[in-house]
Amino acid sequence: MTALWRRWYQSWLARRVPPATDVVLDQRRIFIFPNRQGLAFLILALLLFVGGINYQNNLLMGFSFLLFAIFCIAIWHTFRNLSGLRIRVVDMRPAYATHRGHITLHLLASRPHLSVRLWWLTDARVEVSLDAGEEVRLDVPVLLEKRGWNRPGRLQVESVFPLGLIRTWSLPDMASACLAWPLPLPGGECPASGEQDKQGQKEQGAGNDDFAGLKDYVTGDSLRRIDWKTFARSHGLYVRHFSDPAEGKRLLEWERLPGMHVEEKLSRLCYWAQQLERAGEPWGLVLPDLTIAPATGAAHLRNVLDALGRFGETAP
Amino acid sequence: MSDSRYQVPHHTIGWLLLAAVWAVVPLLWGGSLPLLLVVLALLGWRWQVARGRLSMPGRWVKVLLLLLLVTLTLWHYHTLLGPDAGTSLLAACFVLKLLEMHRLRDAYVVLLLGYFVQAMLFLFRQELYVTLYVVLGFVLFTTALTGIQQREARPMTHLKRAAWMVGQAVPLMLVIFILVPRVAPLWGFTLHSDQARTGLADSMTPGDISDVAQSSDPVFRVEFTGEIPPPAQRYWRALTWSHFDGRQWSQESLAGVDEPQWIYYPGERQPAWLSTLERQREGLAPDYRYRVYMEPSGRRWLYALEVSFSSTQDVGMTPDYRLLSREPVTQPLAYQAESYAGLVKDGELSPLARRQNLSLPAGGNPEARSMALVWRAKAVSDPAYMEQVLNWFRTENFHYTLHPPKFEGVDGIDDFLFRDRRGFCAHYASAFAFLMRAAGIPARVVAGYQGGELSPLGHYLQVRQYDAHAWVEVWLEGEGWVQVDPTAAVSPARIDDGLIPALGDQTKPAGAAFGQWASGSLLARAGMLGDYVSYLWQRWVLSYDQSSQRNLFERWFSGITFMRTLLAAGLALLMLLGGLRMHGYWQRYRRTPPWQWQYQRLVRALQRRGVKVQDTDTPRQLLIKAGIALPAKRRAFTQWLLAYEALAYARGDQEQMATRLALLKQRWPFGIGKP
Repeated sequence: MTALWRRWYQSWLARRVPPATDVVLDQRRIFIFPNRQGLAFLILALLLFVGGINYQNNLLMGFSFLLFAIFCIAIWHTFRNLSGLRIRVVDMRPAYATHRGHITLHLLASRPHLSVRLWWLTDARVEVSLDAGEEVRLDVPVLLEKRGWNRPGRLQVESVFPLGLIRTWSLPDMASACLAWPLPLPGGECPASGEQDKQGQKEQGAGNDDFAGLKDYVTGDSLRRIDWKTFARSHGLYVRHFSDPAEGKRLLEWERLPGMHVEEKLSRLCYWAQQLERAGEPWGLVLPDLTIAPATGAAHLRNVLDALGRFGETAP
Repeated sequence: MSDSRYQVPHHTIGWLLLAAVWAVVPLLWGGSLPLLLVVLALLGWRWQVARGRLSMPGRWVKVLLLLLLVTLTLWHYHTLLGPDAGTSLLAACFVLKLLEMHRLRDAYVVLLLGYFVQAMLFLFRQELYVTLYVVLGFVLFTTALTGIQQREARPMTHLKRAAWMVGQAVPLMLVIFILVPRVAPLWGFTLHSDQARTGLADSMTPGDISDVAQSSDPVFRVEFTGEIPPPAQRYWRALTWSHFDGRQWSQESLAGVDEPQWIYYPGERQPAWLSTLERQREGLAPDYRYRVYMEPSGRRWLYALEVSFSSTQDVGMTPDYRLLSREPVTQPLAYQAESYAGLVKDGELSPLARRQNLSLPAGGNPEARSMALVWRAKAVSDPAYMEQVLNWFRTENFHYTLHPPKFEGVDGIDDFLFRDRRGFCAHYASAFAFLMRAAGIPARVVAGYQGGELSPLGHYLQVRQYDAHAWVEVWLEGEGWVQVDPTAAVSPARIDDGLIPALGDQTKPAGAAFGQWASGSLLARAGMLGDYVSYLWQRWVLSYDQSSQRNLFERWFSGITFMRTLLAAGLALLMLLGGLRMHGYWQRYRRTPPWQWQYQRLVRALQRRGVKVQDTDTPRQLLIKAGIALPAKRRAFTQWLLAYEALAYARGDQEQMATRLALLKQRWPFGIGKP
């Protein structure tokens, strides 16, 4: 019965508030009902009303009517506080699967909207107050349950302003998704190959993971590897030298991870991508349907992570 | 819990504490002083907590504080129940709760409690200014309520918002107030506030009334339907005193007699004494119809002209022809009455009543006793003897004064009658009743108010404490109880003109009197205006009940039929829909810039002339199309377009925009005389 009811409710909601990336909260989308405090407030008014009747005290009755009247007025004010708010999805900030990503919303106020709370996750509510005409960008956390595109469900928008007695809320389906990168899975052999193979032999030990000693600085060495402590002691420029499990291989290849589950492959690639990026040398990625040319830098890493995240997924 | 360390926002705590002080102080004022001081100290503590100088009390401290508050209340009131003790304790606990706010929920509890405490003031005071005070308190609590909804804000914005909302709520409240049906109390429950009030007392030693007469507090107001009695007939009876112990007059104790046997409340079984009265009344029209608006007295007796009948619920009638409330009057009360002057009261006097109304103490006042016996023996009849005594008062050197000497001895009446002949109404009433009883004529003292000033502003009488009066009723064979006012013999002006003129050059009680309206100072006028406002307040607001509601409805909606109701409802609906529609138009109008209107006007004009307009057309595209269709106007279109673009796509201040708009209108391509 409950399930049936829930299904009916969901389909009703889907019809009433259909998915959209650009939503203006209006009568169709806004719901309103007194909350617990509001019910207590009404009970207070009722109590004073009964008192007024019993003591034949018109002023006591008047006071209870004033409580009731301001409650009614508050319904209107509370509704207006949410009504007319425009919410657009403008961006998203991916994160590793099982972590929290963010969907970036752009809010535009047609009138003041004060103390409005938005959330996809109940423990990560974002509160915002906007004046008329003001706009703001908000990152609202979403839980990334799996690698790939995650639909966070309906956005909860809520406000109890101005009296806290009535709750007005909206459940727009923002028709958006947040990308989750594969969760890095350490270990295994570096699934990299390519023209770096020979060079890798030569440069053996120039890797990143295990410190193996100091080496004279040669023009072209990464600045990040200079041992500044030694330099500070006026012993000259040395470069920290690591033995690299990647062994100089700089092109991560999907093909080099046979016999694994797709997600596991992606997770390993993700781990090694991070490792190679930390090594500071140009590196690249080869997926069955996509190749990313060797490069370094945050943007490159992000490209690769996004590609891993999107792998096999249809765009939302 | 995320809000386990909840704090009232810094911009709101001030409002909350102000509201608390506002609500609590008037309730505790005049009660227990230590309790008030402790409560103020607690509020100060809370303020220091808000400023970070002190911390909230621990649990044991709170328990001790609660015990302290209860003890102080008990110490002062000797109870925790009853309106005074109850509200004091409630107010104190409310303040204590301010020191126990750890969650957002606590803040709501405190605020709801605050509204409640604020409303409690209405149990004790119902004046107009008190109402305004309470409404301001309402605004303050609402300010705090809206304040806690925001993290960051300027404090004044809360007050503005709350005032704005309350301002919107008040008209709605008034409508509800008028329309909500008034019903009878759900269960019997009365308040007995022990606040001291001036006014008549249960018993009288001569001199008591002159104390009451020092006050100019209003006692009641009377509104007449039709004729208003002349001053000499404005005797408002409240009490009769049949028992005299030599110094003090008091009500005959009715020990052992059940109240229902001698008091009649409307709708209950009529006792025998009333039936004879009702028979007399049959076929007569009442002399006066009136409605009394009474200030709380804390007593049960009401004020009525001679032989008044009331149909108001819980207003009873006693065998000595008084009106009595079922419960002490602790709140403003209104009751309806009609009076019949010509009825014979107690044509027969029962032996018991006769004995009671003749009884005198065994000794004391020998001179008065002997004079009474001698004079009665010489007089031809009881009325003749009465007239002789009154005449004696009239002709001998008796004085009427508000500040008589005290006649406190066993022979007080002798001292008054034969030595110091200065007295107030109570002395004359007391002495006269004594002289009657001594001569064997049943007599009793009546206490109440005499007179009342007609308001120059409204059609009502105002009776104040200084109108307090005592007079006498004498029982005559065949006539029943007859009213005699010995004071009238001494000072006719007291009866005709009221106390103030009767006192002449003597010191008068403070307070404005209506007589001063014409000649009076601005202050006196303001005082009278204030009284008029209080009258209206009591007339229209405090005593708005079932019957006034019915009257109002009948006056406003008389002859209501089903069809008319339907018609009115339909009309209201149409107006509402029309209003909403207009609102929609207005919104659209306001949101649409003026050049949009001009553009749409042009689009309509072109469509009428056969130009195919598409929604996707830009103004330029449109005008190119228009130029092709209407080549003669091509120049005019270009001109218009330039003006339009200057308006729509350029920025400018208001004045520039207005000029450009005027230009655009001027370049309208289809005007008269345009090529």
